[in-house]
Amino acid sequence: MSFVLVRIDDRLIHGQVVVGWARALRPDRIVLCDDEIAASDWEKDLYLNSYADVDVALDVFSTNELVRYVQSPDFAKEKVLLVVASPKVVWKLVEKGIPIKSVNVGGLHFKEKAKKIAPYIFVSEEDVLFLKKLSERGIALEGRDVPQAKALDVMELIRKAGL
Amino acid sequence: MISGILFTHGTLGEAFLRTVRRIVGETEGLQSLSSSAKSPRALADELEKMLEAADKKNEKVFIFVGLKGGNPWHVARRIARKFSGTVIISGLNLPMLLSFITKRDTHPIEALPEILQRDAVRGIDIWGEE
Repeated sequence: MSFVLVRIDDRLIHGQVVVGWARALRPDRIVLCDDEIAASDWEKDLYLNSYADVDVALDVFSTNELVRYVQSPDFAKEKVLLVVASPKVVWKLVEKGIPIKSVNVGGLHFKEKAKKIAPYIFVSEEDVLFLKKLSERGIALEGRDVPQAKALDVMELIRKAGL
Repeated sequence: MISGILFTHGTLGEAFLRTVRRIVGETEGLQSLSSSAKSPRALADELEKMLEAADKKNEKVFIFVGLKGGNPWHVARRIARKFSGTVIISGLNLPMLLSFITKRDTHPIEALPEILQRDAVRGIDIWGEE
């Protein structure tokens, strides 16, 4: 098996992910990959204790830990929902050889100097840079906050916004 | 005095407030905070200001959220670290809220979270014809 969803969402683990997506896709494991969170015991515990569904395993991995997990026999057996905070993290994972074919852009919220391209997608210059790099690698970028929503073509939205 | 913040998506908290007023009349120290259409930072700042204001009045705060692991729950957990004695309860329902309003002045604060949990669960009753 592989990733059933690779999602960019700056809120990381929250209702749309654990209820909306997880109950639609039924992953065996939800993995939050973030180097800062993985390095802080308090942050890590917060996320590990935030999910009440007993049927789905939850892990917080650094990017290096994720690489080790993807190379392990477990990954081949499991359906995994991966959540990261930004396009930059996805790029880092792709550069480390993690097999990612498509990315769900589920939530990048307002921040300083970010441009709105969809109601739930605000992109900074850095976000645009890494989204373009991912697209050039042939990775599909789909904007969709919840499973029932219409899919948006993120690269087209970026072009239309003149970014 | 223990005050309460109904921290929810959309207008859910506001609707709970209106409903509570219909049942027990005006209540002091109960506010709603919506997470919708706000950046995580703006939302965290707003909650922090509310907790600071309560802290100045020497009030302890119970934060009620709908879903454990949801966005309001995460924001609340982060900010509440800075204010000792703050309690965060998920699974908000009407029996829980009415229990809070009617028991917060008569029960010790240490016992209150468990009482609210018990009353919230007691409020769930299932009836169906065979």
